[in-house]
Amino acid sequence: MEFQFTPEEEALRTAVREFIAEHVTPEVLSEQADEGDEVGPHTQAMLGKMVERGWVRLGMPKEYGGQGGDLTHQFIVDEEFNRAGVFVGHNYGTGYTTIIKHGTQEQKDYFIPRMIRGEVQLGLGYTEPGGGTDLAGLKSTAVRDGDEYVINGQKMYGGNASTTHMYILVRTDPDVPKHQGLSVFLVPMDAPGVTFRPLKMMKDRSRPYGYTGAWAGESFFEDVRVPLSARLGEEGQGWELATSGLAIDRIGVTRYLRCTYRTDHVIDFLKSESFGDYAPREDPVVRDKVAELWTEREVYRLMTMRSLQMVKRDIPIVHESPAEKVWGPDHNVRAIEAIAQILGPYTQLTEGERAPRGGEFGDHLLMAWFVGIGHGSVHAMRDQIARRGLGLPKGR
Amino acid sequence: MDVLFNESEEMLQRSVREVLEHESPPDLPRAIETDPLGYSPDLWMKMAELGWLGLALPEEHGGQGLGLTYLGILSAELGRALAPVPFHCTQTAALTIAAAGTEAQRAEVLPKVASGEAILTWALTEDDPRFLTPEAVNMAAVEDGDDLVLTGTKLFVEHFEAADQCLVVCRTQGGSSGAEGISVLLVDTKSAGLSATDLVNIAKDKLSEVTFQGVRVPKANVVGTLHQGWPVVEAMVNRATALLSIQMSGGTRRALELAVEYSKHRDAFGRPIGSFQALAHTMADTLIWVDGCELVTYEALWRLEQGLPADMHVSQAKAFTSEKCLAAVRNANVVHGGIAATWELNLNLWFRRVSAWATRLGSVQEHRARVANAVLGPTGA
Ligand SMILES: Cc1cc2nc3c(=O)[nH]c(=O)nc-3n(C[C@H](O)[C@H](O)[C@H](O)COP(=O)(O)OP(=O)(O)OC[C@H]3O[C@@H](n4cnc5c(N)ncnc54)[C@H](O)[C@@H]3O)c2cc1C
Repeated sequence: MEFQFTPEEEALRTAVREFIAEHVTPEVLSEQADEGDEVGPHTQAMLGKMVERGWVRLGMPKEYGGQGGDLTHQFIVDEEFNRAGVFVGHNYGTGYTTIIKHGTQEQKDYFIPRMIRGEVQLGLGYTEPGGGTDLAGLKSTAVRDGDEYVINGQKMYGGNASTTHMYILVRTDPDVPKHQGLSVFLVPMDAPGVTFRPLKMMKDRSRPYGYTGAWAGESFFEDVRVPLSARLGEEGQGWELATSGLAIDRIGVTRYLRCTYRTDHVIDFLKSESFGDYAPREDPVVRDKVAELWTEREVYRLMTMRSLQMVKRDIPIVHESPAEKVWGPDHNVRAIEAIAQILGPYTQLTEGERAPRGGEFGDHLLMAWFVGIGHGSVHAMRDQIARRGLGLPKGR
Repeated sequence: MDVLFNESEEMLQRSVREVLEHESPPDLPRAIETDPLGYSPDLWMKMAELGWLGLALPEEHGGQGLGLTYLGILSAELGRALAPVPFHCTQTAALTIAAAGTEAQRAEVLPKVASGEAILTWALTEDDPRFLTPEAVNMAAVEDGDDLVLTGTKLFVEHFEAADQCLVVCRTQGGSSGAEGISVLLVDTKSAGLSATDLVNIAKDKLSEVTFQGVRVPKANVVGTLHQGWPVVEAMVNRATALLSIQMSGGTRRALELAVEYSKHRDAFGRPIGSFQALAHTMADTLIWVDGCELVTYEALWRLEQGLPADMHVSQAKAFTSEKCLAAVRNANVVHGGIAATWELNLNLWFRRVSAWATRLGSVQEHRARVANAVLGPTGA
C-alpha cells in the first residue's frame, strides 16, 4: 500500500493549477454560476484548451471516446477544476458512456460530436411519478409497431429547459421478469406527443459547488412515435445500461468533491473569518466538531482512492461503491447540519455581503439531504452492501 | 496512490491469519484471562520463531527490517485473533529504542526482543490521563551521581509483571514544565523500589499501576537526549496509537463477521434476522466503519513509516477507530440480542477488549484537538 501521489502525478497537478490560474477567468466563473446547464462561450473556449492538453475525458477508455489515460490523472484534473468552482464533466455521464459503448455507428456519429459541442443535451428519464428507487417498477411503455415504437408514459425530474433529448428507460416487454423487459430510448424533445413542463426546485438558484440546478422537469409522452433507431442497445438491455450508468455516477471524484466541499469550505471560512470579535475557530466545541468532520472527509477520500484503484487493478467492486454512496452523502448531511450550528444565523443567508461564501451554505442546507436519495438512495445502497458485501438474505 | 494491499502484504496477512486460527482460537484468550502470567508463552515463542517479533526491527539487530505497515497488518491479525501476548507494549518500546536508543541499547535489547527472550513495556500516563500533553507528566527523576532516582506512580502500564524492562517517561529537570525537562529511561522491572498492582479491567488483560519508590536507574539508560525526551515520547505515542488503532480495527472486523454469520441463521418471525432491513443496514454501516478504520489507520502507519508528518493522521485514525469500533462491537452485540450478554458466548471476548482499547491512548476529544490544530491552525494565533 502507498498513500501518496507519484512525482509525475504531482507534476500534473501543478500544471493543472497553473492552467487554472491563467484560464479560469472571472468570466468563466460567472458562466459557471449562471442558471441552466448551457456551456457558456468562455467555458467553451477554455474547454478547447483543455482538449489540446488531453485533459478532457482523460481517464475514459478509448472505446468510450476518451484518452484511455490513467484514472488517477483524471482524478487530479477533475479535483483541481472542481475545486476552482468549474465543472468540466458536463455531458460525460451515463448518456455519453452508454452511447459510446452500446450505440450503433449512426447513433455515435450523430450524438457524440454534438454532445461534445453542447448542441445535444440529454435529460435522464428514469424516475416516474410512481417511484425512482424501485426503478425497475417503472410504468412507461414502448410498443413495437412495424418500423416504429410507440411510447407512452411520464418521467419526472429529468431534463431542463435546454434539454434536446430525453434518455428514457421504459418497459418494452411486460411478460418477462421486471428487470428483463426494459429498454432505453433517445427521444427528441420536439417529437410529436412529447411535452415538457419545468419543475421549480425549492433551491431556486444554480450555484458553483452545487449539485442540483434550480430547475428540473417533467416530461409527458403521449403516443410518441420514434423510429427503431431511437432505441439504444438491444431490446431488453435497458436494465444493464441503466445500472452501468448509475454505477459511474455513484463513485469517483465528482461525488467525492461534492460531498466534501462543505467541510473544506467551512474550514477555509473559519480560518480567516470572524463575526465581530468572536472567532468560532477558537471555540473548543467548534474545533472538536470540525476535526470530526475533517476525519470523516478523510475516510471518504480514502474510500474514493480505494475504488479508483480497484478499477485500475481490475479488481471487481463488491460493496465498495454502494459504501461510498452511503458514506459520502451521509457525511455531506452531517457536515451541513454541523455548519448550521457553527455559523448559526449566518447559515441561512443566501445573498448579500453578510452571507458566508456568497450564500453557499444556505443553498446547500436546502439540498444536501437529496444526495442521499438520487442515483440510488442510501437505503437501497445499504441493501446492496448487505446482500453483496455481507451475503445477508433478502428481505420480504 | 494505491491504497490497496500489494502481494506481499496480502501474503503476510494470509499467513498470519492461518497461523493464528490454529494457534490462538478463542479458547486461548479466554483461558489467559484467569492466568496469573497474563500471556501465552507458547504463542509468544511461536511468534518469535516465525520472525514476527522482529518484523519491523532493524536487520542488524535480528529483525526483518520491514516497515510499520507490515507491523500494522500483523497487529490487525493479532487483534482479530485476540492473541493474548504482550506484543503491543513490547513493540512500542522496542521501536522507540530502535529509533532513539544508543547503539549499545539497541544491540543489547533488540536482538532479545526479536528472539522472544525479552518482553518490554512502557509507562507514560499518571493520574492525569491526557495522553498528548507533556503537562500530564510529573513523575520526578532526581540526579544522584551516575544515577537518576525515580519516585512516583504510573498508571495503565501493559504487562508490567511479565516485562523485563520498561520505558519510563519522567521529569529529569526539577521545576520544568511543558515539553522541557522530560526524559525517557529504560528501567529494569526487577529494580529495587518498584511495585505493581493490577488495574482490573473489562478486557481482563494485564494493566498495572506501578509505584516507583526511589528506583535507581543508571544515566546510561536514558533513551534519547536527557531533558529533551519529549520528541521521543511523541514518536512513541504516535506509533503506539496507530498500532492500537489497527489492532482494534482487526478485532472489530471479526466481531462484525460473527454478527453477520449469526444473523443468517437466527430466525425471528419466521425468517432470518439478517433479512430485516434494520439489522442489515446496521451491519452495512458497520462494514463501512470498519473499512474506514483500516484505511485511515493504514495511512497513518504508512506516513509514520515514511517519516512524513503524521500527528494529524494518527489522531484522526484514533479518534475515528475509538468511536466507530466501540459502536461497531456494540452493534455486533445488538444483532445477537440477549445471548451477547452471556459469559459463554465468545463474542464478549471481542466486545470487552475492543471497548477497553477504545478508551486507551488518548480520548477522542484530545485526538480531535490535534486534528483541529492541523486543519484550523492553533488557537490564539
Ligand atoms: C433535483 C433533482 C434532480 C433529479 N434528477 C433526476 C434525473 O435527472 N433523472 C431521473 O430519472 N431522476 C431524477 N431525479 C429523481 C431521483 O432520482 C429520485 O427522486 C430518486 O431516485 C428517489 O425516487 P423517489 O423520489 O420516487 O422516491 P421513492 O423511491 O419513493 O423513495 C422514497 C423513500 O423511500 C425509500 N425507499 C424506497 N425503497 C426502499 C427500500 N427498498 N428500502 C428502504 N427504503 C426504501 C427511499 O430511500 C426514500 O427515502 C431527480 C430528483 C431531484 C429532486
